[in-house]
Order: sequence, then C-alpha cells, then structure tokens
Amino acid sequence: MRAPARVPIRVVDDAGQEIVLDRPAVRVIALYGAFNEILDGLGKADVIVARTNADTIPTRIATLPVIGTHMRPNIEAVLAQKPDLVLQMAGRKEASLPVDALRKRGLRVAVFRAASFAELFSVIRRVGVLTGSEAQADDMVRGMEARLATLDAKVAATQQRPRVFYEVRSPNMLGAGRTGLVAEIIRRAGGVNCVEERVKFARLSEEEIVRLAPEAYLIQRGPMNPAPLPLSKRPRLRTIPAAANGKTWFVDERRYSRPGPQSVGAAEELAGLLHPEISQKQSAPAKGAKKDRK
Amino acid sequence: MMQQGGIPGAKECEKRRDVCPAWLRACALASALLVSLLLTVVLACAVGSYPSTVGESLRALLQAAGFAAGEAVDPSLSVVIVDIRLARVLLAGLTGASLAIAGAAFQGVLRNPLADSFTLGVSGGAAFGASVAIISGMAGEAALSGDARALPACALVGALTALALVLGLSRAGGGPLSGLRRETVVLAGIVVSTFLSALISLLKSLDEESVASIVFWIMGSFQGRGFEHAELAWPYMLVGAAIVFWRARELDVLALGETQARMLGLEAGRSRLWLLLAASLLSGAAVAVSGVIGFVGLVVPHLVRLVLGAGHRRLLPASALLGALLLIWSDVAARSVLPGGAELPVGVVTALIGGPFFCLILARKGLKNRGEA
Amino acid sequence: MIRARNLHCGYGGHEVLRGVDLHLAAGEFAALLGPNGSGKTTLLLALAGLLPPLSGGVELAGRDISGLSARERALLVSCVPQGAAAPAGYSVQELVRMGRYAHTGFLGGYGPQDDDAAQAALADAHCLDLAERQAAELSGGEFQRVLLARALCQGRRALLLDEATSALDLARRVEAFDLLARQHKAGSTVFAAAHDLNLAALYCPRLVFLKAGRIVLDGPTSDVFTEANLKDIYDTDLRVAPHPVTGAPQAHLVPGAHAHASLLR
Repeated sequence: MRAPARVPIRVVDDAGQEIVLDRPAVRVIALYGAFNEILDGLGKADVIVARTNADTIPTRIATLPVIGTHMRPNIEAVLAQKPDLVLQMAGRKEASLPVDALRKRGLRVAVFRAASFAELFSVIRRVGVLTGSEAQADDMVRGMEARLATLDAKVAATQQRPRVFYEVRSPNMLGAGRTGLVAEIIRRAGGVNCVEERVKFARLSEEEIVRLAPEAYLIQRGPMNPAPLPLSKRPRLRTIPAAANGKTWFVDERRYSRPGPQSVGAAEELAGLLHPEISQKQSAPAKGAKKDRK
Repeated sequence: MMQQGGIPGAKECEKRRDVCPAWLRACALASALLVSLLLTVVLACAVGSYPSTVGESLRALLQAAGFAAGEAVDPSLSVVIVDIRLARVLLAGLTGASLAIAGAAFQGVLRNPLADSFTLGVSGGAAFGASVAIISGMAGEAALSGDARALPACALVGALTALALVLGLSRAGGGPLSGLRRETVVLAGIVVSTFLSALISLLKSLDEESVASIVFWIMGSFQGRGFEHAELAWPYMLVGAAIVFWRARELDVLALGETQARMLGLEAGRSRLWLLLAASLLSGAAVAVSGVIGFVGLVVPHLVRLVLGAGHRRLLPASALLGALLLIWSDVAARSVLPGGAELPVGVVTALIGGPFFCLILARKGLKNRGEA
Repeated sequence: MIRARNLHCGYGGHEVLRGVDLHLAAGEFAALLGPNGSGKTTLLLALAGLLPPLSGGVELAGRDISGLSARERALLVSCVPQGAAAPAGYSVQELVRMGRYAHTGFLGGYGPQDDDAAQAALADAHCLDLAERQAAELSGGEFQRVLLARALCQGRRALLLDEATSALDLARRVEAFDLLARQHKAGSTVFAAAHDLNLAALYCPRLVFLKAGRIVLDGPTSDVFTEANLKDIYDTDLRVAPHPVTGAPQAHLVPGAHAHASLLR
C-alpha cells in the first residue's frame, strides 16, 4: 500500500491551496475532531500525534498531548509536535487565522469543507490520499454511499415530509439553517428543514419558532447545547405541532453536527424517527436518540 | 425685588400661576407616562416576526386577563402575544424600572451625574457573580432557562463586591462618599469593570464550551426569557425599589452634601449605606435575569430631571416609568430590526442610544467645571 | 442651652480648637468674632455636633451631644452653613422644606404642617418671592436668605449661624439681623459667627472672641468691645466710638494702621 517515494502527493484543499507531500503524512494533527474519526475509520489513528482540548474520540487519542482548541490552537505546541500535516475544518473566520499562522511557519495545513455528503466524501478521499490510504477511503465512501442509497429508497416510499426544526443551541436560540450537513441529513431523512435561511446556523427568536410551526423538533445535546430543557418544559413552545404530536427528540451533537463517518448513521437514525414505518425494517434505528419526554 | 411693593392680590395670582404649572407638569407627565405604558404594552405585544395586528394583541391580552372580547384568538398567536411577548414586555419593564431607580439612587447618593450600575462596575460585578454561579453549576443545570433560585443572590453578592471595590478605590485617600470626585469614581468603575471582565474571560476560557451562552447572556437580552424570569427577580426588585422610595427624602437631603445633610438631622452614613445596598439589589436582580444592560440607569434620571427637577419623590417614580418604557421599546427594536426572526442583544440597542448621551453629559459637565474654575 | 467644656477639635491631626469653654444660656443672643482662621467655623460645627471633639465635650439642653441621634440634634439646633453650594434641580420651596426633615417620621412624607412651617420661614426671612425659583439660579445673597429660612423652618430653639450675612447687601444685612433679634426676643438662642464687628456690636448683647483656637474674650458687648481689646485681637489700630443712634460701641478702622502696628512691635 506504500506510495512510491519519488512521486509527490498533491491535493488541492477547499481553500484552493495545493498541499504537496513527499510521502504520506505520518504525523498528523487535526484541529477539528471529525478528522480524527475519519482517520480512525481509515485505520490510520496511529498517525495522530496530538489533539485539541475537546477531542477524545477515538478513545486512544485521549492520552495524546493537547495543543489548544479548534479556534485557538497554541502555535508553539503544534510546532513542537513536528507534524507533517495539519487538518482544519473551514467554517468560522476565526478558524482561518491559526491556519495562516501555521502556514507561515512552514507547516502544511489542509483546510476542508464538508457542508454536504458529497463534500464529506470528497474530504474523506483527499484525507485518504494525504495519508496514503486511498483504498480504505474508497471503501469507506462507497459504504456510506450505499447506505445513503438504501436510505433514499426507503424514504422515497414514504408520503409525509414533516417540517423539522433542529435546535443547535438554547435558550439563546440557534437553529440549523439551509447550508450545512445537518440540513442535508434532515432532507435525506425525509424531512423539510423549516428554517429557510441560507446559513449554517440561524439565530431566531422563540416566536419565530412558533411561526415556523415545526412538526418535529430535534434538540442536539453536546458541547454547544450542554443543558437543554426538553420541549415539555418549554411552555412558550407548547402550541407548535411538534409539542402536540410528541415528535421531539434529543440527538447527539457529535453525531449530527460533526461531518464524519457517523453522519450517515445520523440520517438513518433521523429517518427512523420521522418515519417509524421504515424503522421496523431498519436494523438499529434510534439507538442514540432519546425521546425528550421525562 | 421689584414686585415687593406690588398689590398683594396680583402677587397671589402670579404665585398661583407659578405653582400650578409645576404640579400640572408632574401630573401631566405621570399620566402621560402611564397612558403610554398601557399603549406600549398593547403595541409592543403586537410587534414581532409572527404576523399579528394591534387588534389581535389587544384581544389576546384582554382574553388572558379574563375578559372575553370578540372572537377567540388562535392559541398559537395567544402564546406568542401573552407567553412570549407580554412576558418580555413585563421583564423589560421591570428591568428598565429597576435600572432607572438604581441609577437615580447611585447618582443621588454619590452626587455624581455619571454614576449608574453600569459605570460603577456594579453590573459587571453582578455579571461576574452570576457567571460564577452558572459555570460552577451552583445555579443549577438549567440556569439560563430561568430555573435558578441562586442566580439573583450570586449576582447581588457580585454587585456589592464590585461596589465596595469601586468606592474603596475611589476614596483611598479617605473622606466622605459625597465628596468623591466624579471622574475618580468613574475611573475606579472602569478599573473594576475591566478587572471583572478579565475574570469573566478567565472563567470563559476555563470552560470554553459555555462561552457562547455566557457571552450572549452578559451582553444583555430578553431573548428566551419568560414569566419565570420575572418571577425570579421581582421580589428583589420590589424590596430594592421600596427601600429607595422610602428614602426618597433622604436622597434630597443627601443632595445638599455631607455637612448639610447631617445639619438637617440625617444619619448620612447609614442612609447612604441603605441606599447603596438597595440600588445594588436592584442592579443585581436586573442583571441576574437580563444580563448587563447599560445606560438606562444613566440616561433616564437625567431626562426626567430636565422636566421635573431633582426632587426624588417625583424623580424616582417618573424614572421608573420612563426606564420601563425605554427598555420595552429598546427590546421591541432589538427583536424586530433584523430580518428572519433574528435578534439583537437589547444591551446593544441601549448602548447605541446611551453612548452618545453619556458623552453629551460628560462634555456639558466638563464645560461647566471649567466655567466654575 | 449649649455648653462646651475644654473642647479640643481638629482635622486629621491638626488641632484647631485648643480648649474652649463656653456656655450659652437659653435665650441668649451672642456673636462669635475673631480673625480668619481662628476656629469660628470649627467651633460652630462642634457645637452642632457635626464634628466629633478630640477631647472635651458639648452639651445640648443638658444632654451630652455624643449621646444624641442626628434627628434629636437637628430638632434642638438649626444651622446656617457657610459657603454652601445650591443643589441643582430644587426649588427654593423644596429646599426650605427640607429643613423639616428631622420632624418627619421614617415612612411619612412632608405634610401640610411642614408646608406651613416652610411658608412661615420663607415669610420671616423675606424670601416668599423666591419660593418658586430654582435654588441653583439664586444670587449669593438670595441663597443666604434661603438658607436662613431653612434654618428657621428646621426649628427656632437654637440657631447657629456661620457668616450667614456675608453676601448680603447693607439693607438685607440689617433685615437679617433684625430677624435674628426678633427670634431672640421670641426666646431663641442665637449664636452667630460674623466678620462684621459693628453689626455684631449693634445687635448682640454678648460677644465671644476666638483667636488661635482659644476664647480670648467673652462678655457683655459694652464691657469687651474696647479699643484695647480689639487692637490686641485683630493686630491693627482701631478706634471705638458710640453709635449715633443706639449708642452701641462701633469700631472704626484707621488707614495705614497695620504698618504702624507692626512698627510698634
């Protein structure tokens, strides 16, 4: 599987930069946790040499040195690890500042964007190229594509397209907008994102949610939304259809909001929740999601 | 001096003409404010991203108050108007009134036109106290959702600590509180505020995951707030306001300065202590449920003084009403200027209004001081 | 009414009064005289209970002043302060009525009797015409009259005045002292610090002279108001002659006297 040593590896990242490596990367630092999961899925977890403060998946990286946070990595700590490749997820502007700083110091930093399954697959393939594991990446992508195709077929057989609201954060409310992988997860799962703004995260008020009248209400639980209240404990949202019909669930932020190997699983899980009739045929539909009624 | 020899009857007449406007002005202003408060409630409850009319707002409010007026309002609309908007109007009103009363009290006690919860660092202290409560989990898991009895108490402790620091710093050389230089106090307020915001930043970097919540919350907003927040804060606000109102005459006497206040029989030190405590209570309760909202406490008493004079028995209630109005409308602006149901923090709106006003006061005082020198 | 015993007072380690013994009987009308910096203001503040003594003590109406509450003190003595600044945003009427602060309860506001007292005080101090004006807009002289009215409004049992007529023109000065004389006749104890020797001698039956923190002279006006005494206290040459109308002793300055007095030393 070793790539010939003389042919350099060339990959263009989503910032338009060409990343050139003489040989596959063997010391990798991911500034965004999903890359660790992707690398782990490619069987390359052993190239990870450090982690950010918040990332402990897969568990074997928990003991690695910490180099700061996703937004503010400690440049010195990163340099000290002598990585031959640094991976960052494009998104907020703040995330690009450390990228420039690291590049200035001669590090190779690849910046990727994964706002859809297509983009995610492209990211996985390119990470595979950079780490000399194209075949594994191809396997992984093909597997995910196959599962998505199966899901699409099942969903196509259903009639309802419920209006879904995905709560990113509360009570200072953020909802998933139209751009971003969550929007596609909702669509693939046979729902319609009731937020129409073309942003990743939409700021909106409670009354806007009442106006949007979602038929299903997803509450992510994780670092961005550490202690959300269940819908049943939010009297101001009591009249939205989701509250009346009980279609409200807590979902795992890591699984839904972080593009990675788990993203297809999130779409499958959500499809099972929105369309229980297909879930009987599904293997393990809603293992992560919890009904928010207490 | 010229009228001294005038006809007594004419003088009496003239006096009455002079007396009436003062009273009329106070009454007129009070009723104008009350009427506008009622109108404000109905109008403010009609504005928002959920489509609604003033008529629907009025009907929903009457319906909620137990009067069946006309056809029943759609339940969703009723929730929006009563549970969401009215609750915000109520909380904004309570907060605005509290901040305005606190501002008037701080200005009166310290005889400093630049004093208010914000410039004195009291709000910053309250925010720090509440941040500690939230991050440490003392305030409970759902602190930001209004289920946190400990929040106002922690905010109060923070407010009092900040106030003690600011006043201690400004009177490092000794002397009575009333004799402190305005600039010194504000400077000390800035120093303490800066220090506290550094501490808050420290808390945030220790716990980066709750950053977004705390940043937003500190900025001051009524988003996602409901009756439960008003319920949490009103007892503190009531006690604070009652103390200040009861001591309104003391504020007048304190305006004369330390020596004269004591000549007139006021235990100036004890009176100040109570008033500062009450003003901190008001600020702390306001911050605990609404975050840091600047400039209301600074601007409102000044505006009222322009019309009604400095007598605190009129100044305090009028400031409370105007503060409530100002903050309710600021919140209406905060939740309606951005498209797509997005919101501005209301603290941004009040700062946009108050910042220039603050500069104006400062410039005028500066000119005046130079004139006196 | 007011008694000071071996009173030592000062500010921050600097002693201003160095052992003052003074007794003002109820109903007395006395003037407090002395050169600049002799401690007149300090003595009045101490007598009013506003400045705690370093040693010695003050009695008001037979009770030690340190044992009285601020309210009790204010009900016994009214003061007219020196060099007070007018507060912004208050009308004269409001300012004068604040004199009634000690008369009101904790919860109660000002009532009709307080308004009446303010009205009567304004009338007595000849400032009814100022009642609706803003205190901060008054001239220095007008404001002094208003402060006098406030002291009357506060209570007339004992009045301590600190240069209460310094900014008044001649007519107003006479008017003010006439008022004090009437209060004296009505039973008030009046103790007025003054710069104007002749006005004091014209109205007050008793003069108290303070110099360098000690009482150097205290007695009936006719006894103490002599050329020798005044020269001694004020370090300048003076002549004393009877007032053409009342016969009260009046001092007259002599031009160039200071240089002369210095040469004599």
